[in-house]
Amino acid sequence: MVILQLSGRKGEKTIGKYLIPVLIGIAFGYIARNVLLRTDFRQYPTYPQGRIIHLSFGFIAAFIGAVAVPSLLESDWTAVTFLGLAATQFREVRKMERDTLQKIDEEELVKRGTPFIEGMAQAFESRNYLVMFSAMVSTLFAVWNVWLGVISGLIMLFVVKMLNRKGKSITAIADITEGAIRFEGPTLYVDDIVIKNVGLESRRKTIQERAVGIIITPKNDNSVVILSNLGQRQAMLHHITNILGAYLDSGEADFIPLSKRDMADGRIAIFVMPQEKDFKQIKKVLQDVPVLDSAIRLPNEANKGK
Amino acid sequence: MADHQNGILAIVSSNKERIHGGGAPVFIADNQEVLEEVSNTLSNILDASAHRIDSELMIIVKH
Repeated sequence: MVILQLSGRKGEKTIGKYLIPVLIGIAFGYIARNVLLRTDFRQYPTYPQGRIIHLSFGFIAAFIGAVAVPSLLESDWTAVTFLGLAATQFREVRKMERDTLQKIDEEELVKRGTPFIEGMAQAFESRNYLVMFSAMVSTLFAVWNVWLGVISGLIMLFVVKMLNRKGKSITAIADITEGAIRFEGPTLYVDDIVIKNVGLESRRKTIQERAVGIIITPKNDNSVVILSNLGQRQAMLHHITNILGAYLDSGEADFIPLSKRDMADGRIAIFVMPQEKDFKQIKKVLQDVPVLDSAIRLPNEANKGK
Repeated sequence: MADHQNGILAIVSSNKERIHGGGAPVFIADNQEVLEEVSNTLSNILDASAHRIDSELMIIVKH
């Protein structure tokens, strides 16, 4: 209220009038970014450099969102081009994030796969937008009334948390059972699904001792198509080996985890050699694998003329 | 020999009659044990998979 009493040129009054709302917008935008940021067992974003980068971008996004409001209220329509510029920046940043992840993925023992990385880069961009909108909404309400701004900021935090909730996991679309690892001559099977040809007797012995077979049975037509997606399957392999370890090294081509599809009924067989062979743990880990956005297909909703 | 070419990198066989030259290096082994051993060594050196076609023939393939 003290600031509002400043007399003087219009410029000062404008700054004074909007300073608190803008600060509120930036604050809530930045808090929203913190709420969205989690570095869990996957160590992404990396600690601390990655986190600093993400939080800084979040701050910039919040700033842009908050500052746009006074400009629009003063009928300064160039603010719209400003937002357009922000959109371009966010896209660039997503591209940069994707490129970094791709480069690192090349050196992973079990790769994440491109669709998984696309999902991560998309999530990064979408979070910046969420932060920008949070800041905008908070500032807009704060211009009317400071406390209204604070309340709307808190509501936006809640909305942001809801929008960012975990998507579906594999457990919603498929049943997971253990499959028997067996050899017919040099051919490796998981139950009745052919995996590959392993020529060397020594390798076959190691595989028989250390490998685990998993059969993933889709629950309906939609699941069949989602599970057939190569990116989804690679994400499952990466997830298992990430959490449970892998009996693997660069150049050991025979031990690389593999997923194969039963073309008749859509079941997926997984061949993997985890350090932890307890199937209960493997099943739990697999159940929590997220369904990739790029893998989701809903053929049941299409008009098939049935 | 191209390092990262995909396809058959080498052929190991215990039966000379079944091999015709064609591009991939051929190794002739006297018996099953030697066949296994040679394939094993080659697959370690080349970071490639050894696949068994039948009892007399193994191929080394880079995926």
